[in-house]
Amino acid sequence: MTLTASPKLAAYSALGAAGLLVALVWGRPEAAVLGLPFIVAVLAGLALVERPDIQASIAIDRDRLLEGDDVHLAVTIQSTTDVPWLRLAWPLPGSLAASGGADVLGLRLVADEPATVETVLTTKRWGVVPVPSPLLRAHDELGFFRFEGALAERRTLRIYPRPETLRRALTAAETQNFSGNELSRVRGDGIEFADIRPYVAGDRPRHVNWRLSTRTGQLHINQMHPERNTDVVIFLDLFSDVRSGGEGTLDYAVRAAAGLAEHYLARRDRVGVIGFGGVLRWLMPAMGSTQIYRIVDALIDSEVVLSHFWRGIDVIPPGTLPPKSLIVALTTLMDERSVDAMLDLRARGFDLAVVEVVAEPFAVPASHDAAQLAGRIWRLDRAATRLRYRRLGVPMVQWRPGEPLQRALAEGQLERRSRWLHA
Amino acid sequence: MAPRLTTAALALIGAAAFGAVATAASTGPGSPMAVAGRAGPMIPGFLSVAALACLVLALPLSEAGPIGLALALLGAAWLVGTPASGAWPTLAAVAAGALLAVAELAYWSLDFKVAGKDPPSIHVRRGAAIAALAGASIALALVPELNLSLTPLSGLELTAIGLLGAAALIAVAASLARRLRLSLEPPELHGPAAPD
Repeated sequence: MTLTASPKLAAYSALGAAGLLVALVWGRPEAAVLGLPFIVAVLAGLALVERPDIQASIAIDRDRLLEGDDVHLAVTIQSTTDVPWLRLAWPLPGSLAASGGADVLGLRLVADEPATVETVLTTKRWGVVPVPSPLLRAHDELGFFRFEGALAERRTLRIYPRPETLRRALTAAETQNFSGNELSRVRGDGIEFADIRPYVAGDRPRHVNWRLSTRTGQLHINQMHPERNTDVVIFLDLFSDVRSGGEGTLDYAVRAAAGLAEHYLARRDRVGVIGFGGVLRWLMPAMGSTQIYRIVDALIDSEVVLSHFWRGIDVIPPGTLPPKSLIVALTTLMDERSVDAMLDLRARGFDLAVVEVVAEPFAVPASHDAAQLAGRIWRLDRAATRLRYRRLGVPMVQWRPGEPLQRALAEGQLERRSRWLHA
Repeated sequence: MAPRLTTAALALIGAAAFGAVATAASTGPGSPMAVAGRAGPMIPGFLSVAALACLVLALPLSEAGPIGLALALLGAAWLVGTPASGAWPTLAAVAAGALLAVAELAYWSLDFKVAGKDPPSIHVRRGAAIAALAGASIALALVPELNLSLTPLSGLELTAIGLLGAAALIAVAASLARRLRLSLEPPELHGPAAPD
C-alpha cells in the first residue's frame, strides 16, 4: 500500500516550529505554548503510526446475470495491526451501480479479526465487465498518514441483455426443409389446408376429399401446407452507437437481437448473427437451446470499433447467409457502410427487413442556430435514406427506445404482407 | 447532519470563538495593542476575520493549504491581542488546546471529501482521540507556563533550556522518523491468487 502523509503533518510541524521561533525572537513564551500542542500531536502521530498488513478477498454470489439483476459482493478483510479507519471504495464502471447505499464504506479493523463488508451492485447494461476491485484507504489513529492500495481482482461479470418480450416476430418469405412452426408456401404434408386438386395415381387415400368427390363424381384430393422452419440472420449494425445519459442505441439493438434470437429459436428456426462494424463478428445459423447461449455470449461482446475502412458484404463468410434466409437488420441508419451493405443484400435477393433503432432521442439538441440547421439537415438525410429503402421494396420499421419492440415488428409484418399481396 | 458538515461547522465555530476572545482581550489594559489606541483591537479582529475567511475558503473546497494559514493567523491574533501579564499567559495553554482542536476538526472534515457510509463508532473514536490529544496538550503546555511563573530565569538560562529542548525535540523526531521508515516497508496488500 502506498503511504501518503496528510498535509496536516507539514502544517503542524511548521506551526510548532513557528511558535518556538516567535517565542525566541519576540520573547513571548505564549508563542511556544501555542505551538507546543502541534509538536506533541506530530510526535504522537509519528509514534502511533503502523503500516497495516491487510489481506482481503472478494466473494461474489454469481458471475452470470441478466441486466437489472443484483450481484452481491462480500469483501473479507483482515489485518495484523489495528486499522482505526479503513475505507473501501468501488470504482464502478457504467454498467454497474451501487444499489441501496453508498459505494464508499468505512469500517474499523481489529488486529487479526476478519471483517466482512457487503455491498449490492445493480447491473445497468449488458456486457462483460470486470468485478470491481475495491480501493482501500487506511487512516492512522490521528489522521497524519494514509495508506492507499487496490485489491487485484481479475474475475469478470457477464451481464446478459434482458431480451425484449415478443409474441410474434417477422415471418420469413421462404421456409427451409426442416420441420418447424412456420407455414410453408409449398404444398405437402401438413395440417393447414391449402387447396383441392383432382386425384392422380399414387395419392394417398387419406387425403381424398370425400364430400367433394361424391358431389362431382370424381376423386379429389386435399392439399396441405407443411410446417417448416426458417433461417433467420440478425444483422447488427456496429458502425455507430448514439449515446446519451448512460444509454445508447446499441444497448437497445442488442436487447432486441437477444429477444429476436430467443423467439425464433423457440420456434425451431435456425438463427445466426452478424455484427457488422469496424470488427466483423458472425455466428453461423444453428438451432437448438445451446445456440441462444452462443448468441448472447456473442452479443455481450458487441462494441463499436472506430474504423474508416470501407467494408462491404463480401467480407461476410458465405455460410453465414444461407439462401432463402430472413435477414433482420437492427441499425441506426447512421453509417453509409451499413446502409450500403443492407442495400447490397437486398439487391442479391435476400429477404431483408430493417428495424431502425431511432437515434433522435439520444441526439442532444443544440441551442445555437448553426447546430439546429445541422440537425435539420441530418434528419432530412435520414428521411431520404428511409425513402430509398422503401423504394427498393425493403420493409422498414422504426423502433423508438422505450416503446415495445412487438409494436414495431407488427407494423413491419403488416407492411411485408401488403408487399407480398401486391407481388 | 453529515459528518463533513458537522466537523466543518464545529471548526468554524471554534475559530470564531477563539478570534472573539483574542479580540476582546485586546480591548483590556496591558494588551500589546493598547499602544495603538482605539484602533488597537482592530488588528487581532482583522487577523481573526482573515483566519475565518481562510477556513471558509478551505473547508468547502477541501483545500488543506489555507487551513495552516488560518491557524497561523489565529495564533498571531492571540499573541497580539492578549496581555503578557495576569492570567492570560496561563490561559494560553487552554487556547493552544483549543487551537489544536480547531485544527483537528478542520483537517478531519477534509477526510470526508469522499462521502461514504461509516459506522458511528469510528467517528466517536476519532472525536475521543482529538479530545484526548487536546487535553494532553493543554496539560503539557501548562507545565512550562507554571514553571515560568514560579521560577523566573535569566535570558541566558532560558536560551540554554530552549536549545536543549530543541535538540531533544530533533532527536525524538529523528528517532520516530527512523522507526517510521523501518516499519513502513513495501506493500503488503494481499488479494486472491491470479488464475492460472
